[in-house]
Amino acid sequence: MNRIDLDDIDRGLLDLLGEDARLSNRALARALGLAEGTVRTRIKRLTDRRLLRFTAITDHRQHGNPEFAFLRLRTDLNMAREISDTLAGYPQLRTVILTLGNFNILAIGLFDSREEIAAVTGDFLANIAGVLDVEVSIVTASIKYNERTAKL
Amino acid sequence: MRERKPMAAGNDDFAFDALDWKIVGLLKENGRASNQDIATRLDVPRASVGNRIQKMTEAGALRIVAAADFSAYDYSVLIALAIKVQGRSPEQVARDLAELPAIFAVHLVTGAHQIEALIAVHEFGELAEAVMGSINAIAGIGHIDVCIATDVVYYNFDVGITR
Repeated sequence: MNRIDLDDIDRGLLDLLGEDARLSNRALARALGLAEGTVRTRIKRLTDRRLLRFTAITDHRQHGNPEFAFLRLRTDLNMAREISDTLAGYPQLRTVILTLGNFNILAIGLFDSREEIAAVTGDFLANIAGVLDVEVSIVTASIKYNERTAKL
Repeated sequence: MRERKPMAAGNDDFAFDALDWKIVGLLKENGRASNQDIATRLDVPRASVGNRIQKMTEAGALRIVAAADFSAYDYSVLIALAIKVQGRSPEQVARDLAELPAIFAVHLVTGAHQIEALIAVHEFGELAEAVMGSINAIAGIGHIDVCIATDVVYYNFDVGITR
């Protein structure tokens, strides 16, 4: 387990920026009782270490009418790593996780249509050597999704 | 069939134009880019950058976020749950699950199970102490199929759900 040596100042910054990513360095400094230069240095250190990233999240409706789907794959165990790398290169698959359990790979995709899901699960996945079984679950409603923490 | 985007705080009719997408593209690279930086790079007035960001944000179409790596909060255990619901509406079960802090994503899905949930905890001990007790207390959970993440190969989260 890789413990990361963050102190209270770092955590304070993460918490405030998690609420409002565009708070100015000056506002952050005031809220935490720090010098503006300290805030700037700390943010740079956190982003350089890839512990913090500032990004823009667009509502899915701006991307047409996409379908979110969870794909669970059962694969040849020795090939799971290689297969996961192949999946990561496929643009519609936005998250690929190697797992221990009933399935070896969990992939989460954002697709333009149900037809595209069918194309991916049929043509694309079926032709990857070592893929034994695919279970597809299409998202009908998202109840909670916290993007304040992520794999950066 | 249930309407897919009911709880929208945003405006359904709002659509990005070409300049909006350019601004969004730069913000996806760096959410803290100043309006002035964006204006200079796109060769447009600073005020129009500010106005457009404000309009997109107010329409619920854009959120500028600071994302922390799982490790920054010492989350070292990531688990995917496929949940079969029995004798209760899956949506009610999902809403109960969403209340739990350890659960960072809950979706209703089609297929052999009705709910996909993702859990992040600091260590396995936390599962027994905090998580399983709370999950088991939720009525309607019939069966949970568990996958433990061993490696996150790829993770992109720049498209979000409607708030």
